[in-house]
Amino acid sequence: MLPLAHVGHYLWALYVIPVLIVAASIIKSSISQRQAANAPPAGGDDFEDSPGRESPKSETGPAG
Amino acid sequence: MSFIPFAHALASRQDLPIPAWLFAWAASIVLIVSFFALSAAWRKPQFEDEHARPLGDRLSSALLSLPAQALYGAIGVFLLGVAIYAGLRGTEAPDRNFALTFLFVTCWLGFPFFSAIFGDLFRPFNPWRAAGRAAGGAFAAIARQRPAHLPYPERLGRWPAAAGLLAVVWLEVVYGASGGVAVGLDPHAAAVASLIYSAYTLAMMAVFGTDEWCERGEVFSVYFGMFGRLGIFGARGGRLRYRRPFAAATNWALIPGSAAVVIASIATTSFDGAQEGAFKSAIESTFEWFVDRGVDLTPALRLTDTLFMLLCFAGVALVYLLGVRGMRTVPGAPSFEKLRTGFAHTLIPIALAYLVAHYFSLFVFQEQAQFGYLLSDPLGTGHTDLFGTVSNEVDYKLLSANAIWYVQVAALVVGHVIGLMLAHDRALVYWPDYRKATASQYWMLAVMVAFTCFGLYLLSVANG
Repeated sequence: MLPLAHVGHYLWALYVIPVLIVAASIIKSSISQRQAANAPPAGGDDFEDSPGRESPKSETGPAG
Repeated sequence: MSFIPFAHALASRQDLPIPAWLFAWAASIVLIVSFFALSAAWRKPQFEDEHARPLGDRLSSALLSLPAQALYGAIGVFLLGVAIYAGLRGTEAPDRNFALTFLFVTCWLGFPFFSAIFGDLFRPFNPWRAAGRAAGGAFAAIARQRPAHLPYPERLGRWPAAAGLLAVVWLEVVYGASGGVAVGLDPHAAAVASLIYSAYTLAMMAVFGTDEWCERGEVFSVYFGMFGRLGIFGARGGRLRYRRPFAAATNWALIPGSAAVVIASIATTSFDGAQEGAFKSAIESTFEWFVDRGVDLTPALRLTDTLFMLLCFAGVALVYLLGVRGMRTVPGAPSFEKLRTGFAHTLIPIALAYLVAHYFSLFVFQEQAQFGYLLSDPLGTGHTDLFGTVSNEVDYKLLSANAIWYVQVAALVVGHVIGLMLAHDRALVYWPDYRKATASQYWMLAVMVAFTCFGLYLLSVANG
């Protein structure tokens, strides 16, 4: 039998989920940006950073 | 004797179309959409200038004239006197004594609510400021020189106000431990506390100067003035001015300790909301732990509540500082100190949202008592009927449980969207490149989503 009688004690988890989604998106986005910033400049890739130009990734949202 | 059957904003919720937690999800989506809308459409700071426009000369002169200011001050002193007298000489029944509802509901909640719309309404009615100015004026007239004051220590900033704010709420919700009435504090204790606070405030005004102390150390001036920065009217240079809403808040937090004031506001409201709900079982366990170790019941309860109130303060501060720390990682970020100070004002709408969400229903219900039987019978003796309203009762059907819930949700969402807007605007000052400004605000988005979900969770548990 599922212990559903006590499910009410864990309702707080449902309120944490949006916070976790946003936090995870931010962390993922930050890591991507850091990797892009640390990547060695190489020719041929249209989306590489170049001095004085913003990474297209910085224009995307947290999940981008 | 009637008994007010609710503690603060408690009201049972009925028949919501969706589960309460889905409101938290929906609110988070609203914040995320608002964030991207701001990122796309808001590329220049809008709030750094108040865009203040002076109101008519006659109106300014009439409202800010010396006799008018003396009248406002006299009203403030008179009402404080009535509250103290009622507390000392009136009934000990908290809900029948004018003092508690007047101090902890009408003033404590009314000034933030209305100041956030109209500007700082407390300043003209501040009884201590009026007394300090009158004493300063009398001294100058007799001694033919202005009173000399000590320089206020810059580093102290607004920390005395932050500590005082915690103390005021502690007095009400920890020392007073409501027990089922709107404000559970003993009226006599409230009156004595008011007298002690008055003596302390007047002494500090004598030492540091009335205006200096009101700007930095006087709890109520700082607290109500903080919400007044959101409002549309302000006075400067002896003239009333209309200003852009929220714009005056942008330079409020530049004084040290300001962030602690707004964090204390959010934390104390959270604690009050969680005391009988989300934290109930944890508080009970801690209380039993203290009792098992030989602490008496009342000190154990107060110790436990104090501990949880301080934990709330630490928790809210931690969430904010994590957001600031995150912003620091964005290239071109100013120092941590500058970010911490520079974004503190973005929490003011959140503090207001928490106040509205938690106390809106209390305010609506208790003001019926305030302007009904409490005004006619301030001492609660049952022998006076000054305005013929002593038999008026509180109409608890004025607001349905669902209406209260929707107001709570709307307050939290709107407050956090405004906070997000102010944060985005300030980010554009620190990072003129809007893409970097947007990147920095991912962190504030997380802070806002966290505060929104936490606030809704507290309300859902308290109402459930």
